[in-house]
Amino acid sequence: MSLFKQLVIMLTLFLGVILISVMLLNFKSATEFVQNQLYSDAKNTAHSLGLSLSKVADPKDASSMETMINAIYDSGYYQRIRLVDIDDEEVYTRESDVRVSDVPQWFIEMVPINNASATSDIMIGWNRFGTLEVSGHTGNAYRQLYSTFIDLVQTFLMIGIIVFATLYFLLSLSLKSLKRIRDQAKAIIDNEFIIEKKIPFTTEFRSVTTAMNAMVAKVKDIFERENETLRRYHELLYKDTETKLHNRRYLTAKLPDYLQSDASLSSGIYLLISLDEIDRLKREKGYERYTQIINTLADELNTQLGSFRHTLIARLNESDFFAAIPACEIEPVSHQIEIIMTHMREMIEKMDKELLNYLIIGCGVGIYSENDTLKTLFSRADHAVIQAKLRGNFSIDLNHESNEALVLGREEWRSELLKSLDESRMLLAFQSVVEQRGDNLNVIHEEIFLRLLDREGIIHSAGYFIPVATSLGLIDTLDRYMIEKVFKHIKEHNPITPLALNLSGDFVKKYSNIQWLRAQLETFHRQNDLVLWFEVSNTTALHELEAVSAISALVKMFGYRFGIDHFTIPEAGAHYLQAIRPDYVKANSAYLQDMMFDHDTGKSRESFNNLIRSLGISIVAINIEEAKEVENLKILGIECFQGSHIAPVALLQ
Amino acid sequence: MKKTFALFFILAALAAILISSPEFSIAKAFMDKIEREYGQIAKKRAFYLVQMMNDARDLDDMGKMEKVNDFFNQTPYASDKTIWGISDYWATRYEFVGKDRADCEDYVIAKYFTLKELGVPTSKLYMTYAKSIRYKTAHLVLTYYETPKSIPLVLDNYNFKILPASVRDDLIPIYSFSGDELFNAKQAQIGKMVPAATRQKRPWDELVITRQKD
Repeated sequence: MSLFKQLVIMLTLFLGVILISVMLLNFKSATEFVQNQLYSDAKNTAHSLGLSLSKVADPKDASSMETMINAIYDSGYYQRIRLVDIDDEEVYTRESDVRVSDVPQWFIEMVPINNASATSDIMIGWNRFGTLEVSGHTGNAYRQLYSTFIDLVQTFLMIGIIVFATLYFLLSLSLKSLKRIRDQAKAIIDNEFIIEKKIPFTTEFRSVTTAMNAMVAKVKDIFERENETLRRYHELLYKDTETKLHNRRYLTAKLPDYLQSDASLSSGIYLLISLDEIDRLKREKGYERYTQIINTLADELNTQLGSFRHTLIARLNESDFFAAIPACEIEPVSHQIEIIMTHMREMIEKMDKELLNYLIIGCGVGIYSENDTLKTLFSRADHAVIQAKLRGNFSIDLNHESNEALVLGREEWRSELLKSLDESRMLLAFQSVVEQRGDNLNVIHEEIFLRLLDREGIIHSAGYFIPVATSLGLIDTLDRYMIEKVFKHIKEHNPITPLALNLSGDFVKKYSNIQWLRAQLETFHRQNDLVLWFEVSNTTALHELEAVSAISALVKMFGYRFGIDHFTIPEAGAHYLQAIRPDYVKANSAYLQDMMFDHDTGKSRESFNNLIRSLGISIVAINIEEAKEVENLKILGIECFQGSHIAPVALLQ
Repeated sequence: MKKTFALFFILAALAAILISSPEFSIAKAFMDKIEREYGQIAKKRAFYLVQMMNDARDLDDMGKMEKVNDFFNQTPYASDKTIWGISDYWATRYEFVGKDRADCEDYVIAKYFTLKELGVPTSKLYMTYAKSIRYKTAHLVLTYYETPKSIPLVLDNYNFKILPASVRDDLIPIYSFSGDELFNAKQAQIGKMVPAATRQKRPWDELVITRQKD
């Protein structure tokens, strides 16, 4: 229970007890007053009527006395006026039942009024005639008392409400800062860095806020420092110093993510540009000319290929430049390459025509798919470049061949995909992610993939149809289909292990999809307490930061987990992690080893760990293909693994 | 014979002591208080009052009334204005004895309380407001009803004799109260009656006369 609630309850009790006791005391004195008045009124009437009756008292004729009694009785509030003679014989009585309209019965029962009657003696000259007895009307007393009671209740209610409202307002004013302190504390628990600028007025709260601010600032500082260290290290490790392009190491670490991403990146166009006789150029024309040519080529590659999304450009060695352009047709790429070649030719001609004699530039272009590995890709690319160079300087070898057996047109693809959804040929597959702590092995979740069963009964992995689906704009339909199917699976099979679903960039991008997901989760959440995990790729996280942050918050609101797949620290630094605050990141095992193991000193690097763990994020190593990788990563403190060595992808029954 | 007579005398005396009512007395401290406040003569008057009550204690109602009436009627009349400086003041018996001056209410009060102490039933004693024809003034007398229906006897300070009301042609009765009722009402008024109340806060029975078994 919050402090505010406790204080309000205490205040209410305190206020209530005070007001009720004052009200009861007030009411008690009012009751006494009414009771006394009832008696003294009766007494005054008894005497004044007694005095008047004494003037007309006649034992033989009571009519005058009766008239007088009637006159008084009818004109006032009396319950009974009774005249008895000296022998206690009744002479005359007027009496009425007490009927109290306007006053509820419970009130009459609750408040006893003692109706004491007053007496006076009636004389005839010196002789006593009898006694007059007068009782006041309790009904009148009750009416008076009831209206007093109502007045009291109203007044005290009003006072109560005013005082309570004032106190409530003052209390909430002084406790307002407490709410901000709580929010900040909660943010710290969630590894969110909020610095409270408004320092509270109350001394105790002020010191708490100052202390938390100092702590947050420290953690933030650690994050910034580690981020900067890593960024520099990243550059040193993965950047070519001359051209500022990525190097071979980066390509080796990153390309498997493309090929195995199970999404739109897994197929596309590759190209390799190779320069012959680079050493001779350096030797004969000098370092300046050499850098000029190399940098021009790098600039050209960046300019001409930069407009394609998710393009990966790297310098493999002094003379070879490689690029992967996912989810793209060969024609637009070859057009851009022609421009590059033309520009290079013009540039070299302008510089020194002599160079054209031995500086041969060739380019091989082809299609890659998810079935490729680094090795096959590089050998195909090498082969193409050799073919190009044989054809002459600045020539391009275009290889339209694709590994895909099923070659369909766009419209055929569309109907095939939609049909496969209708016919339930879109299957769910999963791969286990495990946690190894000492000798204990736990499956922490299963990552869900889509598989397409074609008409020939062959099962295709996502890389086969996802790129096409992406270009057809069907990818969010597929994502919705997957989510619905997973929910259905959970309902039917009640699995124990959490399932992790990958959301595509196209799905995340559309606000209507997020709305839809929220509605789905609300219904699902009420029926199942199974933990669901959601993932997006690092590229999606970077490019759709706002949408991904929203989904992350949504998923966490339901108590589920959120992760980033194929994680690498981008050039701009890891600030986007602060906005998304994923529960875990999945990173390529080769990348993790690069990041966490210092190749020069052979020591483990703390920066990557500090950065990730300062946000409370856990790390999963993916693409584990051999036992040695697990051993290496374990030394670096990684405990969660995924890959074909750990568990292969299998169909979900 | 002489011995027998003496024995009879002693036994008679003992019997008289045994069957007689208990004796009235005033504590010495209280006597001193009266002396301090009103002087030595007032102390003597209080002593005579107790002596009178002890003389009357074994008499019948009539005898008691005569003794009491005679005792208090010795005190001369004076108006409230001359005694107390205000137009209406009901003096207690203590003040009556102390001042040795009284007006009609003061006689009634003193007689009423003394008779009450002597054991005359208060149900027989009434205060009657009456008009004095001779003095053309409002008057208060103490009346005694032998039975509820009988003609009352009147005790007042105009006529020192106790006479039936029927022969008191000088008085026209107006209204009667039982003693207790009137004194309670008067006491209830005290809170309201300023400035008279400043002195009348004294209780009616302030003159404490204790009664003890021999």
